[in-house]
Amino acid sequence: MKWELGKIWIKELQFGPDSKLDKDGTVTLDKAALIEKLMEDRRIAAVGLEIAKPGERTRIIPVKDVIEPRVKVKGEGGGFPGVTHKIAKAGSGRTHALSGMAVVTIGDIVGIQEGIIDMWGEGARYTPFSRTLNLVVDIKPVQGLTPHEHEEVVRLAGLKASAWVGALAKDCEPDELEVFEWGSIAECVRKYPELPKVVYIEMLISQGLLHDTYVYGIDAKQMLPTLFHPNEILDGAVVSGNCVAACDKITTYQHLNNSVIRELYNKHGKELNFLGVILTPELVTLEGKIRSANHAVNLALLIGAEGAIVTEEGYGNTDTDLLMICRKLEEQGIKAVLITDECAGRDGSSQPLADTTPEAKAVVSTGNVSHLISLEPADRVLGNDKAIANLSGGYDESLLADGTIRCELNAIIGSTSEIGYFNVTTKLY
Amino acid sequence: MNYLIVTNNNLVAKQHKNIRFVTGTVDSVLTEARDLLHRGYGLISHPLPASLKLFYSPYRSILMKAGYGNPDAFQVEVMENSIRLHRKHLEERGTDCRHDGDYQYLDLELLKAYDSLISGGEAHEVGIG
Repeated sequence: MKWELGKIWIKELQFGPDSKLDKDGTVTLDKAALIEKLMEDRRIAAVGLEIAKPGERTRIIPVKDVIEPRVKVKGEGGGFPGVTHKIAKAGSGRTHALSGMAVVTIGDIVGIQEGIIDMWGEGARYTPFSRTLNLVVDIKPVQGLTPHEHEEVVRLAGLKASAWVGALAKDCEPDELEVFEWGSIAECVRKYPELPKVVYIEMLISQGLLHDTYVYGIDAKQMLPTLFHPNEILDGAVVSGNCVAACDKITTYQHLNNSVIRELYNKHGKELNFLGVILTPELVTLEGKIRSANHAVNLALLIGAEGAIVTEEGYGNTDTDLLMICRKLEEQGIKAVLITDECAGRDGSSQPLADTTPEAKAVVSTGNVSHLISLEPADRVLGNDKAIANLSGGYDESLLADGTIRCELNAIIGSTSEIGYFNVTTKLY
Repeated sequence: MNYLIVTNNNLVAKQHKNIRFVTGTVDSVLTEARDLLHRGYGLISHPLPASLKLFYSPYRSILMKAGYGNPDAFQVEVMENSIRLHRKHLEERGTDCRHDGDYQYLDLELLKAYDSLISGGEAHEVGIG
C-alpha cells in the first residue's frame, strides 16, 4: 500500500472576506462561512473563532483536542473515515496537510478539564502546539445536552473545522512530498530476511466518558486488538475522544503524526523489519485487560514478531495493561520496549508507574508529569485561565493574582506524549 | 452474574442494585474491596482510574463478582498496588471536593462500561459476615 503526504508549509493565518490558501503559504479564513458550517449541528448555540500565533503572549485554556487540517486529493475516502466522511480505507492515495497549522478546540465539558497551550515563554517549550499557527475553536452547546452529547459536539466540530480548512489545500502543489510505502509482512520478510522483525503495539484509552478513542468511527471499547497497516493511522483512522489528562493525552494531531510509526518507517529495511501496528484498547475490567493483552501478544506471535515497541496512553489502571503486555511478550520470547511517562512525584523519586514487572527491562521515559513549572502571565487568554484549578496538574492556588500559573507538567497539552510527538528530551549527567 | 458494587457514591447507589455502600472516602472503598477480595469476591473492575485527575475524585465505585473463591495472586497484587498508589497521590494533594457533582456523575458514567455484565443481573443478598 502506497500513501503520499503532501505538505504545504503554512506561514501565515488570518481572517478575511474569502477563504483561500495563497502560494506564499498564507491561509485566509472567512470566519462567518466557517461558523455557518459548524452551526449546521443544531446542538451548537455559538461558535467563537480566534487565531493564536507562535511567539504571542497568548494562553489557550482549557484545550480539548488539536487537529492538523488535511484533505484527501487522490484515492479512497477523505477526512476521518467513519467520522467526518463516509467509511473508506485510509492510508492509500494522496493526502495534503496544512503543515504548521492546527485546529484547537476549547471549552468546558464537565468541571474537570483538559490542558494549556502557551504560545510563548516557559510553557511554549513544553508543548509542540506552541509552534503551530492555531485556529482556536470555542464551541458553546445548546442548553440541556448531556456531557456525552456535549463531548461529541465539541469533538465533531473540531474534526469538521479541520476538514473545512484542509479543503483549501485540495488543488495546491505541496512544498514537500513524503511517500509511505509498505507491502505485506511476507514481502518484507522475504526482502530483509536478516533484519529483526518488529511490531508496534499502540494502546488506546477506551474506558467511557472523556476517556475514549475512536477507530474508523468505532468506539475502541468495542474492539479486540487488531492489526493495522501503519498508513491507516497516519491517514486518519484514529481520533481522540479523551479529555482528562493533558500531558499524556494523544491528540488527534499526534495520532496523524505518530512519531513511533514514522521512526519505524525510517528504520525499516535498514535496522529492522517493521511488521505493522496492533491497536489495543485499554479497558476497565481486569478480564478485559487480560483478554486484550493475550490477543495483542497472540497477534504479535502469529505475524512472527521478534521485538515489540509498546506505547501507553494514560496513567493508573492502564499501567496494568502496559506491564501485562510486556510480561506476556517476554514470556513468548518477544523482546519488549515500553514507552511511557512517569508520575514520580514532584522530586521525581517515587515509583513512576502503578505496577511493575521484572520483564520491563527496556523502558523509555517521556518525562515526569509531576514536574513543577511556572508560567508567566499572558497578555491574552483564549478560554478561561481560572480553569487551571480544574486541570489535571493544576490546583486551587495555581493561578496567582498577576496571572502567573504554577502547575505540574501534567497540565500542558502533549507535554509527555507517550507516542513520542513532543518537546521534552533526556539529558545525561 | 452475581455482582456487587462497592461504592461511596450516592448517585450510583440510587441507580444500581447490589450495592455495598461505604460511608467514607475512596480509601475506605478500596480497603472494603480489599477485605471482600479475601472473603470470596473477585475484582471485575480495576480499582484505579485511567487518568491522574480522577485520583483526586472523592468518589469511586468498584465492581466485584460474588462467589469468586480464593483470591488469586494477580488480583491481590492489583488491589494492594492500587491502595498504595492511591495513598501516595493523596499525600501530595488532597481530594478535589469542588466538583463534587461532576465527579459523582463521571464515576456513574464510567460504570457504563460494565453494562453488559450487570444489566439483567439478579439482585442478591449483599450482607457480608
